[in-house]
Amino acid sequence: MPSWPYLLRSGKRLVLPSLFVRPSTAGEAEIVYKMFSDYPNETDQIAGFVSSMKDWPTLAPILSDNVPRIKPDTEYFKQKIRVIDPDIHILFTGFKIAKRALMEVPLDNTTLGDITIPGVMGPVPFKRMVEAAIGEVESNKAQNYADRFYSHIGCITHSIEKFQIDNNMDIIIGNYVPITSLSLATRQIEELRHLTRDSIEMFRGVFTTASRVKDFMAMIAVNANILASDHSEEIVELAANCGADHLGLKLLNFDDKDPARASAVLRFIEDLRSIFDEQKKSTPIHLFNVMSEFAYAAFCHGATSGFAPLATIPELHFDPNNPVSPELKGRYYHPIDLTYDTYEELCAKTQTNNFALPCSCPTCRDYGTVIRAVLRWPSLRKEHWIFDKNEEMGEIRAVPSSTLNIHLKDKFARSQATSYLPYFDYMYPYIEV
Amino acid sequence: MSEVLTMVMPTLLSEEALQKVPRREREEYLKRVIVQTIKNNPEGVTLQMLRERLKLIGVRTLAKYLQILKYTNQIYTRNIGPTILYLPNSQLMHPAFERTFSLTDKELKVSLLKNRLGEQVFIQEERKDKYDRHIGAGILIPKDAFPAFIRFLRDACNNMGAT
Repeated sequence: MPSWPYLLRSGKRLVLPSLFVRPSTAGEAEIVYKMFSDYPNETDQIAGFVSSMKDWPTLAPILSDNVPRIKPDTEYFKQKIRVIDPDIHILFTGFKIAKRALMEVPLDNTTLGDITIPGVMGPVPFKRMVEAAIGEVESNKAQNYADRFYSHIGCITHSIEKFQIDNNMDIIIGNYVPITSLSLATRQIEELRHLTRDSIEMFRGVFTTASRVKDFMAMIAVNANILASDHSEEIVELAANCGADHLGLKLLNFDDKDPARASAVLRFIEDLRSIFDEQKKSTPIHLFNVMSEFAYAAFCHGATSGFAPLATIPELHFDPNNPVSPELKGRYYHPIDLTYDTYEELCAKTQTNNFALPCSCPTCRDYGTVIRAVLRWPSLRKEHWIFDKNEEMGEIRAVPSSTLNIHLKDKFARSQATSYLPYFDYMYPYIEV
Repeated sequence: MSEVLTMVMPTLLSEEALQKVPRREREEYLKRVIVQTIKNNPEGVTLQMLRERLKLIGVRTLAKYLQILKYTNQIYTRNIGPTILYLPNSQLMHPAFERTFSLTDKELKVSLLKNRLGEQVFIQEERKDKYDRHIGAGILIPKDAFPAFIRFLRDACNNMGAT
């Protein structure tokens, strides 16, 4: 792992490896703002935050630096790296409600859905195409989406980049289409190549001033099973030669407990990093939509940062073997077992110790016991998660890159998250400059 | 001849993406593409050659942009019979020679270039906003004459002060 900080054009330092948090509600945004502002020493290992473009209108009043405040943002909060993820894959693979929310994202005097595209009888709003796609039958869905969207998806490239620039983001993510289906992968990769090239050209050719002070990230959103197929090489080639400053890898339909898929993902990251090394590029590889624990495994295989949701499983974990928890209270991250425990599980685990919380972070210290913690359970477990992740990132950064896997293997071997152990058998030979 | 026909083209935005770029930014982008194309082909290009390769731009618009680029001294022309050849005006000597003078809403960029007439001091107006930079008028002064030009400006300034 390169031990030097990667300097962004905005002047901020991205210390590698890094972890970003992904708030998705106003409540989570408040937690992130409070944590970053009030606990600088306890959150200094967290690189920053990322928000979905559809969530940003809700989060902006709390997290945006365009909002005037009575008490100004702390210098420390200003140093955190900010990213908006356009989440364009939602148009293809997301839920109806998320698609509609994305169409309502406000732009200058209009919304994303009101951007016009050519229709048979004249210009029609983009959202009409999305609505038509929502209503269509499920059979051959990927093919229908490709036919419907690919000729128009380029129309929103300018708007989504401008949206990110207007909101003072440090890394601008380009337009993309997801690679979701084996039968259509060739066409989807070709469209992604075309959109990535357009997005980079738009950023560097049209937003010339912004491109001098901001970095650009190309996004590859891919169904994890495609990385285990012959198309993997094509995707590696596309990612390695796109010319972006950063590379984002968003895993769809991915369960990190499935060893075959996880190995394919890690192998893909290794291949990509080795090509970057051959090209003498230090392009950071960012993993989106993964558990932070899997991001640690990916650090041993060539990835440099992970973007994880706050104390929840990633949004797009569609795997039926790992469904969304029906537990209303949410899960508490156990810092020793490295498991996400329900309230009842935590009570059972701590019963012999007078229900004392198994953590000494500032939040857990304040509450002391599980019984007292229940009063503020939702925010407590998220604050605790940020503190714990910060501590874990501190440990990871303190270890020499050549032995990171051994350190993590030791840590996970002592926990109950032993399913991750096989991923720590390898350590990518990072080039030290 | 074959070298001229195989032009080196810059990466271009697709038509669908370009259509959604606001008019003013689109104009700046297209002018930049034309300048880049001419710079990539220092032996010169004709209007016909540009028209065949830059299909995003109509021929009248292309001719208009070429005139603007010529008058802002970013390119120059040479007549070969009935054909007008567009050539890049300048090659930057070294980025270290570049200086910028900030005015209220714009900058004057001073750089040392080398072209067919020798070394030249190039003064160009540039406006920047949050998204893009807009190139304005530019003048070329031979490097040898530059000290005399500065003296002339100083005298002019002193005279204005005296009145």
